[in-house]
Amino acid sequence: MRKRELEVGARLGIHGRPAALLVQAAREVSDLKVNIYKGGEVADVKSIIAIIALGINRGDRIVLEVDGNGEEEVLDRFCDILLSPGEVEK
Amino acid sequence: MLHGIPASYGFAIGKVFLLEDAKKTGKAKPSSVEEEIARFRDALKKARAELSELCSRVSGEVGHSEADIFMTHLLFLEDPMLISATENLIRNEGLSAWDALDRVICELEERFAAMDGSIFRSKAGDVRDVANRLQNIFNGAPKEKIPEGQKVIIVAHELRPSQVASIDKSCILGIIAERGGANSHAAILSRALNIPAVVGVKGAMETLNQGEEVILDGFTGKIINSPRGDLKKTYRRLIQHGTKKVKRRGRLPHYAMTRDGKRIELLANIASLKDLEDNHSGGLGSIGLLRTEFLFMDKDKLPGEDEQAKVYSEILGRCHPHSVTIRLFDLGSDKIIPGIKMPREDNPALGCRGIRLLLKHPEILKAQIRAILKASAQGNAQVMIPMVTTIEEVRQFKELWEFVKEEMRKKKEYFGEIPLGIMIETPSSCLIAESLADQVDFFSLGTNDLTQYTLGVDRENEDMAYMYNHYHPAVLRLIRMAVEAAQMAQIEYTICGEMAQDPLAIPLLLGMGLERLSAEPRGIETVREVVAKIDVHDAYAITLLAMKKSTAAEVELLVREYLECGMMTGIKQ
Repeated sequence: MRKRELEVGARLGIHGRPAALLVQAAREVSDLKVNIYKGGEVADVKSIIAIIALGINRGDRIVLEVDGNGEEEVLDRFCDILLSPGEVEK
Repeated sequence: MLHGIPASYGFAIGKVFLLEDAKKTGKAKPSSVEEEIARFRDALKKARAELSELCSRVSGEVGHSEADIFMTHLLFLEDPMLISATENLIRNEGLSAWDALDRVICELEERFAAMDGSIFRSKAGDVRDVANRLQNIFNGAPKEKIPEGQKVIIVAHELRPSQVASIDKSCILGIIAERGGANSHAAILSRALNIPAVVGVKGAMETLNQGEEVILDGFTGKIINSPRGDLKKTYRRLIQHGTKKVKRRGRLPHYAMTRDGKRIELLANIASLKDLEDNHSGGLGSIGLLRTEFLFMDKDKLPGEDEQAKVYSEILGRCHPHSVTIRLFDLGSDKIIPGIKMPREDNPALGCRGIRLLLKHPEILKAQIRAILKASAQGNAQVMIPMVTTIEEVRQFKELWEFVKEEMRKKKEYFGEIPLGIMIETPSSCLIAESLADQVDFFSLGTNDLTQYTLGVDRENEDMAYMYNHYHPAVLRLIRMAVEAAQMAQIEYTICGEMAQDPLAIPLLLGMGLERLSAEPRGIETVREVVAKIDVHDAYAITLLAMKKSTAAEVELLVREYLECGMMTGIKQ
């Protein structure tokens, strides 16, 4: 099992597109268990509802945890989504 | 008259079509557990098919980013947590598929509604939209039908994105919703579909009757029910004008003339280079408000002075010889600052924003001042300070301003003469307007914030939006105070809030003596059209009467009657 702590870069927080990207990425590695921890709460990345319910804003510190094969690569992939500032909505 | 949050620009006149929510069916008697689970899974499957179709339709007709909404809904339907929670309730508590789902959805709605941040709270609406879709499948209910061949203004409690997308858009003249904010999905979709819309209109379903005629003003968020005579004609012409404008690309003068020949300057509010292009196709002149913070919102951090100077130079050059009023970064509150960590505030609207924030971060302010000074050779710049509440803020700013200028002089860098002004958008700035006017070269009235701060109403709060009303006598009196102070001091004054493009407010503004109106590029032709109907002497009289009124409703009625009975009879033809 591997963990990585990071500061979220998504401009508008994690919901909408970034949340959908996380779920889709989690489905592609369905044999792995991927969790996000924020504060005392945890979300299974396969559930978009759980992700949104964490209420992750830009700048929040979260911990990403992967359990299974190819952990490093998977961590990188999820980190990219969480760190990307995303598009601008006006 | 009803008020809400303007969600999509434009005017509409038409008959009301009330879109009732799906009726809650009573507790259905559950069949066997296996049957209920099968029903649930079958509904999920059908809903998925519907959503996939909607998703591809919207991405084809409107755009990929708008279709994202439905992608998210699809993921809700496939959410393992939602599915297992519902099936557990069916299994363990013997509930029917619908009752089980409804309970899960209600819990989720509550959970989202209690979250911090309006974006997260708005997810409660998405969850409900998905649930309604499933419920319609359970009930075999037909989709909302608008009578064949009719064009209507749709009125709903809450407009679900799926409703906006599934109704034939050629039948929709406009959209009114009781709930939702300016950034709700339905609002974003109606903007993408170019349908005028007002959301957060409290009591719309009860007040408006099926088939009743209404005017919808998507610029200011007004709904005028049962309009009469000349008022209707006025709006009808505004709508026609709006459609004609697309074809006509000729140059129009950057001023409007009242019916009795007084010249009113028309300026534009812009937030990007693209706005500038839209603006120039109308052949207009000065920029009354350049929202600089939006120029760099898509960057990871605020750019340094050279990059900023390049952008300002381009804008100044393109507008030359007309002036560009550059508002310093108006950050904080709801506007996230790229690359700066801000402490979380319980009450950001009353917190560190506007000039307060800039004075706390002199490095940002200095870089912006230098960038503007460097660019000033390219055109006719004016600098404006946002969110002023005290004289000290202006003095502190001016110290810094002079300091930076002195530095540049020493380095022999050239810069032009730049008038300095402030936004008048807080009650305190109106009340001390006389003292402020001694300090600066111009005032710009930001009526949106002024209305919010004066009435203590957050208009983004959909439960409170109905109280937001710039006809409130308190707001009008504060505006008059600021205008009179500017007149006494003989400094320039402009209005750049939404009020400047509200057809019903324009007579009051002209009556108070405003001669410079700054509007969104799309709203400028409306302003021109309305100004041309007004006789300034009528406007003075109406404004004097309005100032004596004690409620917003009385002021509204006054202006409305005035417009409806055609005292401004430029509308005879």
